[in-house]
Amino acid sequence: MRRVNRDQLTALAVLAPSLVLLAIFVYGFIARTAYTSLTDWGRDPSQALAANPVIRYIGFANYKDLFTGFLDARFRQDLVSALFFTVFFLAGCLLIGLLLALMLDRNPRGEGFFRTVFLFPMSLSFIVTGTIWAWMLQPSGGVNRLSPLVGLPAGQFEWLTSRTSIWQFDWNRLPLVTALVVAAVLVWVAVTAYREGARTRGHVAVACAALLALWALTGGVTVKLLPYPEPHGFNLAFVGIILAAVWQMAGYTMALYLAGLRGIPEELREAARVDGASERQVYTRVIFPLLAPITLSAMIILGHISLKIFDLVFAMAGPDNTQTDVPALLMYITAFRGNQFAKGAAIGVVLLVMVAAVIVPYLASTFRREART
Amino acid sequence: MTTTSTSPAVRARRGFHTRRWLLTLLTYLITAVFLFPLAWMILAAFKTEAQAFATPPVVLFTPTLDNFHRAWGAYLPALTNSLVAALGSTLLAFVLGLPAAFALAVYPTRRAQGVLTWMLSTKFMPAVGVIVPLFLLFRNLHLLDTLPGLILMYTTMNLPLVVWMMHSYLTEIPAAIYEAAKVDGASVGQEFFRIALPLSMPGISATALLALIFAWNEVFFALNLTSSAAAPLSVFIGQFKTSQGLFWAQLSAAATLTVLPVLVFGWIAQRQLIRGLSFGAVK
Repeated sequence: MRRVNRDQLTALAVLAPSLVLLAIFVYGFIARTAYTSLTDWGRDPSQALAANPVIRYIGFANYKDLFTGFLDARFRQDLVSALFFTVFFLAGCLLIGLLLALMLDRNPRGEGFFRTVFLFPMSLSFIVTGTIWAWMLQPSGGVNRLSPLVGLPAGQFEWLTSRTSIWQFDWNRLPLVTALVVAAVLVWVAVTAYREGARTRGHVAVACAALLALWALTGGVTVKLLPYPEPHGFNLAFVGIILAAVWQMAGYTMALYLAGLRGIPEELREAARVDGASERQVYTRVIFPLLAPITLSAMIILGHISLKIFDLVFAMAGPDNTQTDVPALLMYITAFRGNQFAKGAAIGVVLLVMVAAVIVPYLASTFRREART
Repeated sequence: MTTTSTSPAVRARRGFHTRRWLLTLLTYLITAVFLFPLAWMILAAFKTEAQAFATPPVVLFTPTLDNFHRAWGAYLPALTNSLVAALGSTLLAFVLGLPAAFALAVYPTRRAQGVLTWMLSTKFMPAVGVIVPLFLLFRNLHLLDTLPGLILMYTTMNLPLVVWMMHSYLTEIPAAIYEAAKVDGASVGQEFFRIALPLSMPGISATALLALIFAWNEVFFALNLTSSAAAPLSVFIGQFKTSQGLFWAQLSAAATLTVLPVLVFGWIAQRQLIRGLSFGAVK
């Protein structure tokens, strides 16, 4: 009995330094950031860098500015950009990763070599790949010069500086759009719940969806965040950055899918074939459904990388290219160039909440799964 | 009997062969696309500036080492900083994390899984969420632009990874081995140094490689916490680009030198890299 207690003490003693370090440096500092974001630090430039700055608590004013302030339109565009970037980056990685995995799975000759080639970009730092790609995507050289090789006119696209923005929408519509999207998701939740026979869950989801839709139709249409329309859309200057990011991470997705494909026993495919499934049906009915959990994991891991993305954009377009700005970059500029520490902290917190919304459910479910086994 | 029409089986096989051939061709094409950016950079490193800028691109040229010579002077301090920061932080992360992982693996309490998940959660948190207080703390402690500061930060960054990965390696050691040692009167320390450490060496080297790569590639903290004296390679490449944006051949040489170790390490530690990035999504 004493042995057990001493063991537990030893265990606690060796765990403590790690736990304390992480608790302070991650969650302690996050709490500190959250507090800083509620102050006016940096609003008065003379106080920003003072040795003992006068810092006042001003509540959520920084957040209000970010979402509805006249001067912070750049932040709102960054949020929209981050979402578009995430969608295309995810789609590109998943699609190309799956194709590469299927390719290697069907034709395993030389698999080791090809896997290494597809994976190697992953081990490079974003700053180096960003540098290479920035060079390749120069308007007057690189990729734009590839088309003359096959007899076409040289490309004219300004990969990283294009000012064209597509799929624009008015920022004032954001609450409405959000409400409708959430309502749609809730309807989907309800449908799956009913199908699984979980009636209570279905009823709750339907009720919430109905409430949201009701609000959207009554209040949501007229709500105004800004006194004027403010269009935000997908900046085409991001296309090049998405290309580079997909190039870097597609191999990783491939590795995940390949591991998944290898985990599907051959008997399962054989059984499907014996039952008369065509080769296409073997994939759509047997293999792809079995890969769904991998797709989810990949989406979460890649999604949180793309929301946090900083280095790739920094290396490819620099911090001052407003066309390719992302929240992390704006936070860097606001806090460390503009000395607006409180507003920078607020941007950090917004980003943190977005990442946490993706990661926390995932970690919780992993935890539950691990605890069960 | 000679048949002009081939049997369905033969036709199917022939179709299979054509498909397979096409698939192989496609694989090689994609391989070329994947290698192209890196190959282009390495080629540019051996060109003169004029050749590097030429359109259409110069393919045949006499390689020159001038770029490496010119980049070397500024590269060396950054390389030293990167090496010290990566090695120092990896070592420190192991000193702290290995005993912790051992404790969690060998004396599993009901909370072990919770502790691991909690540690892991810190790895996902965006750096922008901590950078403001971190910067101020470092300023007050005079840790800005110093290697100890950078090592401290990278240790925090790699610690959850080390604990998580080493925990999974250490749990693979059969409990019977520890039981036997206990019967022979081994202390906890002896169990750790005599059993866990030697038996998990492959895991340690794989995890160490991973931690080294992550520290080597890190940009955000380096950019915010260092400026010149302690600037590692990532910052050096970033600054090189903004300050001397037009010297592409020289930049390529510096970048080539920067990625070389990672290419080798990354090749050795492929599987760990996937595992480290996925946190239990794949095992």
